Amino acid sequence: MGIAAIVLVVVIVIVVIMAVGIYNSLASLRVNRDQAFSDIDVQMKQRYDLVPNLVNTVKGYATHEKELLENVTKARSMAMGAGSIDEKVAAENQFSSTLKTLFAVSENYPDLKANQNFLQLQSELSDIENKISAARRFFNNATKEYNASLVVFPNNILAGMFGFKVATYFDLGEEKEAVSKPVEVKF
Amino acid sequence: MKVVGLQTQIWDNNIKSVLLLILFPILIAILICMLAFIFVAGSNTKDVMGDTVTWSIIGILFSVPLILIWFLIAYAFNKGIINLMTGAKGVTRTENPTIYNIVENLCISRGLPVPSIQIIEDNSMNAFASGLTPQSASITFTRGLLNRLTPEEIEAVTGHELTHIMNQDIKLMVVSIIFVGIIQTIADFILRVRVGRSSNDRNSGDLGLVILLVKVVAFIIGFFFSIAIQFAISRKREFLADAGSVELTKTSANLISALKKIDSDPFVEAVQNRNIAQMFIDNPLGGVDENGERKIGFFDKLFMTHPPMDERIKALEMIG
Repeated sequence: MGIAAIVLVVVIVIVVIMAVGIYNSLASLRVNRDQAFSDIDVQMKQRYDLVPNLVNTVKGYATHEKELLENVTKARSMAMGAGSIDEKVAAENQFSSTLKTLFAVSENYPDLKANQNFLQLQSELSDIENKISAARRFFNNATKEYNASLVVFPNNILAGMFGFKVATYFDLGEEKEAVSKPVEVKF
Repeated sequence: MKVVGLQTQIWDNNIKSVLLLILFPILIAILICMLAFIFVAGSNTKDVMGDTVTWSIIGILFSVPLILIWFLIAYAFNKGIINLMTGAKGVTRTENPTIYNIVENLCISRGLPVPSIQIIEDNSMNAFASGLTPQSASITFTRGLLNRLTPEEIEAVTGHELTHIMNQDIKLMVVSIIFVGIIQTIADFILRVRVGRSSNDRNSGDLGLVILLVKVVAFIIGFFFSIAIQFAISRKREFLADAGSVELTKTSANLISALKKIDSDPFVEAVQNRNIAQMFIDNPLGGVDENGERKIGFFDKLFMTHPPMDERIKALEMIG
């Protein structure tokens, strides 16, 4: 047992301890991101619950908007059924844009705009939108923290080995596109 | 580790708090070694170094139980004072539903018991948390803060104070204050101790100078380093409380605007003591001079209980 062997053992022990530390911090950051997404989910579920009531209220006044209302309902189902975070992000953006279109079109129906139920739903949905924005920002910060920790040395060497991959942000992407063409909804 | 967000900031500050805390017993050990050296140097021994090492080790071993007893007594004493401050009866839900609901909502989201809510009748804006356990905790707001901040900003401040309670920061500060007391007592003793040496020994002049040097270093350690460490720890905990508020409220914008408002008028006239000042969300000491600039004394700069406001806001903007 020469000095060289002892040094080697010490080095290996240090490397193992560092690897454990890196794995644990990356795992914690990933869990933080997952939880941040659940918090968005809580808000989104509240929104899903309000939409059937909204669709029925609008149906009574905007009899010619059958297709639009069907799109909203369809988008809602797709968003509720989405699986992974990436799928959910895409479906959510689609659903949001249908809702925006619905409210834009409602401007053409003054009777609808005066309806108490409609006004209350609009205000509740607006409140939830703000909460979702805040939750999305928090989620994006958690994603940024996770990604930033993944790519620096020496974490990047171990990240691939342990199966940590760069994560996606909750992007405005599709929503931005739909806002520029208010009446056309793609399906 | 690189600070790139909320969680890494929290980990970083926690690690630094622990390292700073460990400095306290190290300082005590150093002072004991100095004391041993002085006694050894003043005696007639031929082996100054060897005897110093022996007596240092004996001194350190003996001091451990003594310090433990000191801690128990001082902790009980501080607990009594803090219990007087927290007060049994706080604001009830019917008396002030707005503020009660703000506090209760945050507590529910974290599974914390609702602390007793106190109000100081002062028009300045400030708040502090007190209490050694989450069960016996209290949060105190000034009337000025409740009047001049929006509900969202009050919520952010409440998040900051609740984080202090959750992180047991008050307990940590009591421990720091006790350590500082111990260190100052030992340093004071070192300053006062006089050791004789046979006057016809030709080394006495040089050794006397060395002893003087040791006393000066002990003075610096006891009356500067120790307090500097205490306030460094306090500043780290403030950063952590800010981060905790963002964790609780999921946004940093409200805390940033609350801090900016508070910083314009945080001075609570009743508070003069630096140890109490460190418990507030912003430094309540000092005042404003003719130009409207904050009066910051020399010692305030050295021993700031709170990090500078622009540093706090910068940290918040990074994670928010």
